[in-house]
Amino acid sequence: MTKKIMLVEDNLDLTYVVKRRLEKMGNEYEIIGAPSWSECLKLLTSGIIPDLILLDIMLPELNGWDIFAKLQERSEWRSIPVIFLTAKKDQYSKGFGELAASDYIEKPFEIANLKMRIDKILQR
Amino acid sequence: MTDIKNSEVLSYTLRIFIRVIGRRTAENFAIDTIGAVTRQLTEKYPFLRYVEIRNMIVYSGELDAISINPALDAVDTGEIVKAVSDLFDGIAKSLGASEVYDFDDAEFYFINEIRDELGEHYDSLFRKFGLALDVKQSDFIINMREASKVKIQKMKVSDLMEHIIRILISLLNRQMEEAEVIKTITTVKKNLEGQYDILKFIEISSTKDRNGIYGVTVKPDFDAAWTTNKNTILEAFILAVGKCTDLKTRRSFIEDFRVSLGSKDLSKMKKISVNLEAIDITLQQQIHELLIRKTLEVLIAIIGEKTSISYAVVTLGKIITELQEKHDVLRLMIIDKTRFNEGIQAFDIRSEVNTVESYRLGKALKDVIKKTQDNLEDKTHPFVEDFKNRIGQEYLSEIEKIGVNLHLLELRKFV
Repeated sequence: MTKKIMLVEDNLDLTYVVKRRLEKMGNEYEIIGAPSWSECLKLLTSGIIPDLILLDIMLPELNGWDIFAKLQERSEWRSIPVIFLTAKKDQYSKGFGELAASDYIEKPFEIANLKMRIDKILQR
Repeated sequence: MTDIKNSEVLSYTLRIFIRVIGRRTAENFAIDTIGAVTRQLTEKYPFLRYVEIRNMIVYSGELDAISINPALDAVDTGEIVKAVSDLFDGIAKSLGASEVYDFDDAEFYFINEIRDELGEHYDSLFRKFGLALDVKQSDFIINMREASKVKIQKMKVSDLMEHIIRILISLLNRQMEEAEVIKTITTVKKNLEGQYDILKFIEISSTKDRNGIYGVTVKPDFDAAWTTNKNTILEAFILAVGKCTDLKTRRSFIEDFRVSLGSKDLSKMKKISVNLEAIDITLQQQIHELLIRKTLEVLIAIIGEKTSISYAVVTLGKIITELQEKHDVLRLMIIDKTRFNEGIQAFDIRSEVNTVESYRLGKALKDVIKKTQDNLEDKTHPFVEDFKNRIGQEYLSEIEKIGVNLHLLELRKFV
């Protein structure tokens, strides 16, 4: 069964690449793009609850850290695994990112590596 | 009947009254009080019209406050002693209702002092005519207590409340910025309003007036709405503000409050039965709560600086939940999931933490810090050093006392 992955990312080119390549890799995943928190929220409240969220940190409106916290406010969203997908490479961001989220992946990344980490989390 | 003239008996007794009451208050207050009571009794004892009591401050130049017409000597001494007895009662009633007189202390010395000053001769003379001063003392205490009950009911406390708030502002200002203090006091007031409606009559302005002072207004309605259990309202307010203090301010919080309040308002507080000692004990017993709060606050600051405040709270929440199985005490730290962005305010730290053994709390806090440290990939980063600097020496020594050995945590990066 295809699993839904929401990619919260304001770089639409990256969203396009991730969507195209991940969806092609065995038809396992459906990628839904959301360029901001308001778009993400719109999707969530309309009933689209993904199996996993890929979350950029440096986003307009609300940053990824705060979006993560927002997702913890509601019980129906709290259990969705979140992977930070970010260009932030400092040890604190990575360390703290891994503390609460399921994973922390630095940009640039290999799609194969991303898929492998998504698989791992969804198979848990 | 007696070898002393009535005029001498009354003159001497009235002078002693003035001296004893004047010592506790002011002589002119004593003269006014005794004069007023004497005049009130003239209807019952017409011979008291022979007694004139004048305030020497008002009638400057007079040599004596008391002058007695010798016609009084023809009156039956028994009647004179009855009048003296009524004077005792009248003065007691008047003092009991007075704001000036400190009845708490007066209860215990008033009659004794008068009796001592009158001397044995007068004591037995009065007894002979039916006035037993030791009995009168018991009556006096009862009268004073009754009068004081009425006085407390009528007491205006809006000024006292304003004074208390201003002192609390200045005490909190030792540890936080003035604007933050006003925010804190306003929050305390708001939180207590649900329980004590009367606090709605207090207004604390968030802006300074042209003299640079934050406006604190206690409306007259406050006095009108003031009912019984006045002490509970004041105690709850002071305690709630006290709970906002840090370790340093808290140690001397109540003592500093007492000093700032001054003897007059302290005496008012005593009359209302505000138990400052009990507040102090409660505040000192809440050290665990303070240590947890400060530790979490510093961790939120460190994590939040690199991420966001709400994320920091969520992260700490996860760490705490993970460690709850190992450390029961962590179950007493509850996060309000709707307040992540409020930082430390999102945490509800249950007061039961104060009764947990210190070593157990120490172990739990150490693990929370360790877990945070563990997730920093580069162990050379001075996380613990950063934590120590932010928490400050005072808290550092307290958390080390309960077993949080930060030095050992620091050494872990070399292992």
